[in-house]
Amino acid sequence: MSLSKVNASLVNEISKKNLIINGNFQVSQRGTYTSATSLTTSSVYYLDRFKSKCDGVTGTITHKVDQSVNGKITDTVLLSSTSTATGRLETLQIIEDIQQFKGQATSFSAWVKSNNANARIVIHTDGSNVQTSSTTHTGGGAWELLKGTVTNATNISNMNLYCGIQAAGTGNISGVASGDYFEMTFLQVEMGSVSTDFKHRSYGEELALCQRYYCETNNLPNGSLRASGYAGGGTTGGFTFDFPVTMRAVPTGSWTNGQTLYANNGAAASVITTLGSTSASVTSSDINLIWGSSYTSNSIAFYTGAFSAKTSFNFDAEL
Amino acid sequence: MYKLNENNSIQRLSDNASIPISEGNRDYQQFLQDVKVNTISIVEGADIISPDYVALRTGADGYASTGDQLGMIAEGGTTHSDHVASVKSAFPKSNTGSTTVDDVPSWVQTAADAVPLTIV
Repeated sequence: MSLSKVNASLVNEISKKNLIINGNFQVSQRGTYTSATSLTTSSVYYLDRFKSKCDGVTGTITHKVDQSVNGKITDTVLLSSTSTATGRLETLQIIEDIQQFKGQATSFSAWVKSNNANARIVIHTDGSNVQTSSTTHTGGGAWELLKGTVTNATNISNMNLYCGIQAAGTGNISGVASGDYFEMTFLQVEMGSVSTDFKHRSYGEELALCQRYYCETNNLPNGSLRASGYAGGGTTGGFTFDFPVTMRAVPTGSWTNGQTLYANNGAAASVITTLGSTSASVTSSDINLIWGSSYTSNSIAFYTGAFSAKTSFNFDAEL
Repeated sequence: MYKLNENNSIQRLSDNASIPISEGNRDYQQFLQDVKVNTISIVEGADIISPDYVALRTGADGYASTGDQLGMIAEGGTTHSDHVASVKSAFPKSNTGSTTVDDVPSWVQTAADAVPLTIV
């Protein structure tokens, strides 16, 4: 193969790069949402890299696995309205890597199933403050490919992809009915004026991309959380956690306390009661904890005894 | 409501999350917005903890290591009892420790003033 052919192949590969992460909803580190979960009026991250909300109407989000879409098996996300009013259902991904899109033609696409003719995806760019809608769904209840193209201004400062039952400018619409739904998968944003087939990544590749924005260490699905650490004197101490990939920014740390977490100095166990703080960089965190008994030993083991509920330390560096 | 921690982080009291003082973090950006909108009254200073006698007696300035104390006992005389007495005297049981809350440092207001108000 000649060098020119290699380069052409490489350029073609890069041009097909999908800027949307987790566009077929393989990764859901924060939890399991295969049962309908109520949306709130403020945006919340459920599946990785996507935050969702309802406005004006009440609604739910459901992660559906192994769905048949356009002859392929994939995971999807379903937004459903549970009331009738003027409003919208919305899922949003904020795209980080936008420099290459400044001044460039950009295509966006998704496979969508809906019973509402205001089902669409919209690219919003700040700086230029432009909203560009895709084609709208017929509302016929079948899977349809929605596509759109925009040429960005050179001064865009961020780029967001909005998906849902919404206005062309991303606002509310009248007449959203209880039972209206928006199901989506194969979301893609790419350079160029022509939308191409969804570029599939392996679960491992997609997970690594997601962990730049969110990661956690936990006791699920079937193992206890274990770490060796230190006692800082009295009832405080902790352990360090190296992030699986370098995070986008210094993350916010939090603790999900579903299964009792213990500290043990080799002589006695003490129940962890409070997350003191997480002192972090973009590569690791010192997780500082508070427990009941006073230890003078410097060496402490941390563990959960079981895994019937989730205990995790969560690190969020989302946009 | 927020509380400052000793180790350069901010505790969000609604969920006990630990927010870094880092411009790229969206929760820190929201913290500055909240201070801007609601004033600095929503922020509590860091705890200043004075340790009690147990922590002091078992700390770096307290009792010697077990090995050193065994050495003192082996020496005989009053070396060991003098050591124990001096630690007890330095850190009496009447010291039960205390926790006070520090003032909110000025950098919080300065940082909130420096960012533009974001309309959500």
